Amino acid sequence: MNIVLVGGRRRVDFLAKSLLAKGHRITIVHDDESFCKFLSRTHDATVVCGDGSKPYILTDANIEGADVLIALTPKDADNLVICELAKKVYSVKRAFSTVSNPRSVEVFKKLGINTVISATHIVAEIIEQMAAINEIANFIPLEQGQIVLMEIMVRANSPICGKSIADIGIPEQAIIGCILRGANTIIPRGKTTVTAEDKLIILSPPQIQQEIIKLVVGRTDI
Amino acid sequence: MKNHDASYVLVAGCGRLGANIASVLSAQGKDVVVLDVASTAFRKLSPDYGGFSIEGDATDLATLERAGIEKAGIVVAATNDDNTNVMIAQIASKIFAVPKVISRLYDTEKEIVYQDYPIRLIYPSRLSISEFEKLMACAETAVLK
Amino acid sequence: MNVNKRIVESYRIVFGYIGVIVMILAGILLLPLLVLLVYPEEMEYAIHFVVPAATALISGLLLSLFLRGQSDGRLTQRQDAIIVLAVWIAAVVLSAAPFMLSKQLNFTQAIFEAVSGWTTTGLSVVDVAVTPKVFLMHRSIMQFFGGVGIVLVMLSALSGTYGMRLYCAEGHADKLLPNLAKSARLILSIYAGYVLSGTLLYVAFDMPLFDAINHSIAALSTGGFSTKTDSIGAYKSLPIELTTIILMLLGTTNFAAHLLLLRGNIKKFFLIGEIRFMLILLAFSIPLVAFVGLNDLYGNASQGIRIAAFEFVSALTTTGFSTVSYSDWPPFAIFVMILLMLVGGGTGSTAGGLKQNRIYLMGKAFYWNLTKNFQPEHVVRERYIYRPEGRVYIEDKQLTETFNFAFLYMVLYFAGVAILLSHGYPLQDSLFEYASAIGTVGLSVGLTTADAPPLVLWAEIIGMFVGRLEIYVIFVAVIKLYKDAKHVLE
Repeated sequence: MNIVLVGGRRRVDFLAKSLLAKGHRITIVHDDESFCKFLSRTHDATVVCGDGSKPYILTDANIEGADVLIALTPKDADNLVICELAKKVYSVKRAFSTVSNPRSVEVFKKLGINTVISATHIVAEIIEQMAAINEIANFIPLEQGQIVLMEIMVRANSPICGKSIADIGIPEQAIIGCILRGANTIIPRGKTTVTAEDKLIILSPPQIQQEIIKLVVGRTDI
Repeated sequence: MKNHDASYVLVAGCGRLGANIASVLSAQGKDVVVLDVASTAFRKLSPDYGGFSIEGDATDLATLERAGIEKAGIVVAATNDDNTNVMIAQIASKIFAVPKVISRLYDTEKEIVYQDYPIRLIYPSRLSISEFEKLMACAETAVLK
Repeated sequence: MNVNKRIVESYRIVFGYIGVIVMILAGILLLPLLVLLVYPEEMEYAIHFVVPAATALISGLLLSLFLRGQSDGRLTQRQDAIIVLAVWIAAVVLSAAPFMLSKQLNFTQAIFEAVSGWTTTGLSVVDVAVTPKVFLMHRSIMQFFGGVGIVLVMLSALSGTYGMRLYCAEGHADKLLPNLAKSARLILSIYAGYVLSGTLLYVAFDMPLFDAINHSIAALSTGGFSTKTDSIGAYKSLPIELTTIILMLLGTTNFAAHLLLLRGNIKKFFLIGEIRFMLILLAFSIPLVAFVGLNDLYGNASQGIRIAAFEFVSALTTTGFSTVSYSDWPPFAIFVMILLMLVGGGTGSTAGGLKQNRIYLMGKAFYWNLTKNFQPEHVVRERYIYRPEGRVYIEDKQLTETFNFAFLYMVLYFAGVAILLSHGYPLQDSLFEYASAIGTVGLSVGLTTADAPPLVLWAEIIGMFVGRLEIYVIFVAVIKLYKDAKHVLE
């Protein structure tokens, strides 16, 4: 695929590396000259130096008909214009954007840019959960946080330790998708017993998250 | 949808242009709210400006709602950044259905992002050019005489 | 030479604006004549109002001619203060004229009465028992317009280019709407609406209509002129007293806060620092003084509380209605009254005094300073208070201004007290009476009478005037005039 990355620092570096490894063709647009030099030396990609929200820069980058464009600049307004130009002028098939203000997600969607990620929002939520409860090893909100994926550690003193899945009484909207036990991955059935040091992968809407944490950990705070 | 009041004007960006527009409209007896990220920008308003001035990011929905964009009849995007103006103008036009949206655009190449939107544009560069041509024409006729 | 010409030119606009407002004053002077429709027997007094009104109209018209062809002229800095000061003086002089023309009062007394009316003080040198109704109405109408301010009345009618500066110079702190003329109209309609409801309430509690109108205006403008010698006490009615208390509290509330209240935003209303401060102050002082000082005097606790509540609300809101005489009050109760009068009403209301917001802010500042000592040096904490528009972060500049104002206020207060003392009045009476004058309250321990020495009356006149216009604008206007005059004459 032809992928265009606009703006961003660490993220564009990291993303470029991983996309290149998968065999995609990458074009990077960035407005900092020395960072462009760095990118050009590090990655086997076309690097264009300039403001990505300017049409002539995008023309230089030859983004016409690219498969994917990802806008990563720190300013939401810049990302919006980049995505709109990509779609309206250069017929880019899909335009992604990150935004810094969580409420911009809603704005972008209403203005026709449908694939938006609010990094601030996601990171804040993850940090908040992990910082609050030791047992939560991982926390991923999906679909703008409408559903969350949680990885919870079961301790020996947990109320569910030693019980079978059927006996735990997990709320209906939630599901334990997987149990990680040492190196093994277990797909849980009703009779599967939860033991200490298991990691449960739970999928649930955020509303009942607290309830699940209480069920597994026995408390909802530190 | 709430009623939009034609005499309620929201000016985003309190630079020279924004501040002047706000001051003039306020003196004409319109309800004016001016927004800017920096409260120091409000010094540019005339001392007789009678409207509200709100400090905040005009691309943020919460700030726009605080400024009463739901009832605004006119929104002027007059920040000194084209992309910010695009975003403000499009939010006003599409999300809040403001009847009259005016935006300043320096870079005429970006005009295309405004297509499909009923947004009116002010092009400082084109205005200067046409003014320049007028002055040239005057100068030529003067020479001929 | 050029500078001189420009200064003289700029004063044309000043005169023009003064002219426009003086014409409005002419209309205000004629309003009391509406009373004659109901009391035609007082027709003989009409001429005393028509003559000054006609004078005002003609001179206003002549002055406003200065505005001709001046649409692009500029008001230089601080001339707004001169306009405000000039129109207030004009208002006082014109309103004093009917008293003099009808030979009821001499010059000093007439000016005193007019200043007391326009500044919504309520100290009086007329005998209301014998004064014709048209004059009583005239006093109430002065209080009505004095309460909101004459400049505000003009702005609601026509929005001039310089409205905002005049609005600020008259001491209005808040913008209710993002449009000056609409803000002014909104304030006037809130105010008029309250006056109307107050009148209806009074009438419902068996007060005659004429008295009801006058008392409603006097309560909401925190003016305190009464149509009875014994003020509200004359009715000996608990419902009327309660109504008055409510109206006085409404009168002393910031108009922006009224807007919150009328829009049903009760929670935000009670968050406002000033409102909380006022309620706490009253809740604390009324029972305290009732039990310590007044219960024995009035026989029982409920009577003591009733009297303390009315008198303290009247003092704090700077209204000046009373239900009893203070001649037999113990010094402690009098002292608390003086303190409340000095504190005064709310900012952006019709009241006077140091203003609750300033006291509240100074108290907060003290607390902030104190807690700062116990915090690590590099902690950043933005300090704020709640105002009707929400949280307001306080900068040092505002604190300095507040402390300066408080200092100046106290200096003027003590200067006024000194003048009263030099005429041989007792210390307690002087402290009380001048706090009442400078705070535009209007309560009296009997020192202000028609036959008081002229110097005493003039001291009180100045106190009322600077109290209403919040001191600075007068200084600014006088200094500006002096400077410009010096420039031109040199």
